[in-house]
Amino acid sequence: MKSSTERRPGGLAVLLGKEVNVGLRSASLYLLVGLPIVVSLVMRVVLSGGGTKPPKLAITGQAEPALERVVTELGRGPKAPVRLAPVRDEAQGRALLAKGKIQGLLVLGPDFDSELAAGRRPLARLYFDEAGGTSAFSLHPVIRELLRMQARQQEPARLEVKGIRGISPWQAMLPAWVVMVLLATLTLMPTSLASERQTKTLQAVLVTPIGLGEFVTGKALYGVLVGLVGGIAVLGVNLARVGNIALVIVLLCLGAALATLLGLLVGLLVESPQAASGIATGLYVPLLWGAFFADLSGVVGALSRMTPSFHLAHGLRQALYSQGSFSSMWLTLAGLGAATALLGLLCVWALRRAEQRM
Amino acid sequence: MTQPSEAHDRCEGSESSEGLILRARGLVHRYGRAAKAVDALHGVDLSVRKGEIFGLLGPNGAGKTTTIRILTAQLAPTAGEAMVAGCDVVRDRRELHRRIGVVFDTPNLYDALTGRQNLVFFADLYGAPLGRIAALLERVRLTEAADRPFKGYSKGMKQRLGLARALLVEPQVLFLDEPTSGLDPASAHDVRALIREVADRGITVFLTTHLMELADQVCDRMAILYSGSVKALGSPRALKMAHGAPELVVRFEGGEVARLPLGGAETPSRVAALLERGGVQTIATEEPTLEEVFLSLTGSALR
Repeated sequence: MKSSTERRPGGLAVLLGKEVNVGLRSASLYLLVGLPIVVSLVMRVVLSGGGTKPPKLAITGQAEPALERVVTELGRGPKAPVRLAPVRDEAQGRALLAKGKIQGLLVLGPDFDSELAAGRRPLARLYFDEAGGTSAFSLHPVIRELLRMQARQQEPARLEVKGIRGISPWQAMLPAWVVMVLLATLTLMPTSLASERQTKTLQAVLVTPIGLGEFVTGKALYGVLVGLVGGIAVLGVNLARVGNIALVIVLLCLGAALATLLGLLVGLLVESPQAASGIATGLYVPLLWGAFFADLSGVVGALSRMTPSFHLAHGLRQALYSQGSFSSMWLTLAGLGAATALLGLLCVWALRRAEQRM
Repeated sequence: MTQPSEAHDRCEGSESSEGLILRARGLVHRYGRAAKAVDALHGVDLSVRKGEIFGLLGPNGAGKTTTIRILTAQLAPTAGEAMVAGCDVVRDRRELHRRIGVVFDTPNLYDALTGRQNLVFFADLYGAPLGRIAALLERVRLTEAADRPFKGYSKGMKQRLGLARALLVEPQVLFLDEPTSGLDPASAHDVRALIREVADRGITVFLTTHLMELADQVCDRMAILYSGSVKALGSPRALKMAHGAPELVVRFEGGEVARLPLGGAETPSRVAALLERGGVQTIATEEPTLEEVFLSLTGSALR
């Protein structure tokens, strides 16, 4: 009987193929990778203001035309602080306000203009919808500013306005969503290993010519692939501008490897699926903090700045928006590389330990 | 780590000069450490000839699964040695796994993949020709279900697919751990038939079971394992003859039963007396069962 086989036994490529094949049929992959992508898009809309319209304001009284001119000067379209709604009188304005058609009604007294010109402080009454809290918040400062501008008439200095390409709040937050998707593998890996143990598919693979080391390496490659694809997807769907693409790819690979190895370490050391999942979640949360809360003052901010996820998010921010170079970021890269290497060594130790216990 | 080619060179031919394809000497396995250690095996000796169906019979906790895990190089013995298909189970693990097939007590393939995708994956791992998959699916009667997800299979179908996986490499020894456990009678019959078919093709079969019927029906030879020790080894018939005695069983119309030793000096005269008494319904000879053999060897029931 033949003991040798006709084809070369498969190795990492076969294991990686299986992981992808099984992973694509797993709801948890779509959830963990899809969630940061969706949230990043939602936050982009929210933070860039595309989803909110300026409140509608009606003005009645003597100074109405002048104030309207000021509003027009302040801006038009979605960038305008308020939109003006035409009303005949105060009664119609209050009716529209009660129906929610407008968010504010500014009523100016009959001697408003003359008192203003005389240097006195005339009364302007603002009605707003109490149910619409955000409108009240946004209307109040806008109207104060309108009245201030109306009173001075003349600007104290000439102001030249020029647009520059800065980082908007959603752009500043984008690397944190990338880190979130990279960290998905931290929870995917222990669950995947535990599931293979529980269903004994691991046992079935280990009676083939494949060893535990190759098996775990196959999972690690899959984790890095998921992180890399997920990270690129977050950047892609947000049409992120990329300053140094090579640096971004290196940082994505480092982040994915770091999260994957940490996940595998948990999976190798903890056999109980529930315990492994709990520990992975316990690590996931503070690491995520690192990406989001590093700007906070106090202990949370200080601890966040000590996490590798903060350095990863910071590095990505530099690589995306500031043309960061490898040489200017050597310290970040070295730190992340060292953390990844340390986790790799710990995984080898945990692997040997697991092999001895089998 | 040992390179495959080195392991292949070190592995001997498949069988020993005595025609043994599996030989275990003094296998000991200890779980746990120091004071809390528990010995699962106490010096197990086994020998299996090429081409035979060998059964390891014992109750739950006897050490059957530990033994099969050592023989399939999933577990290193605390002491002792074993050679399977010419390979040392500790040193030549990788080459050994090219020469054996293993069917587990629970069907352990990937739920998310179809039956065919599972077989393709394992064939890729072994380097087995993909062309063999269709024939194997046919042999285990899963051709129609091959493209359905594994998680939708019945337990009998799952066990048959597990058998197909183990046969991907045309193994020299096929190990089966409790192959019919938990199966309905029809599926158990199917698996028994497949085991015989495999043996007819010259593949040595090593199975563990706590089911006497399975051991009695399919095994050429068997070992009785109890509390980590082999209590007896031989063919089912030889064991029954050695550890029990055939009887003459006389049944009366009223339900009364008389049992007489078949070879007893007084048996003929006692049978004649019973016949004279009248009311005899049947007279038959009965061999001892493996249950009785087990009871006489261990002092406790098998189940």
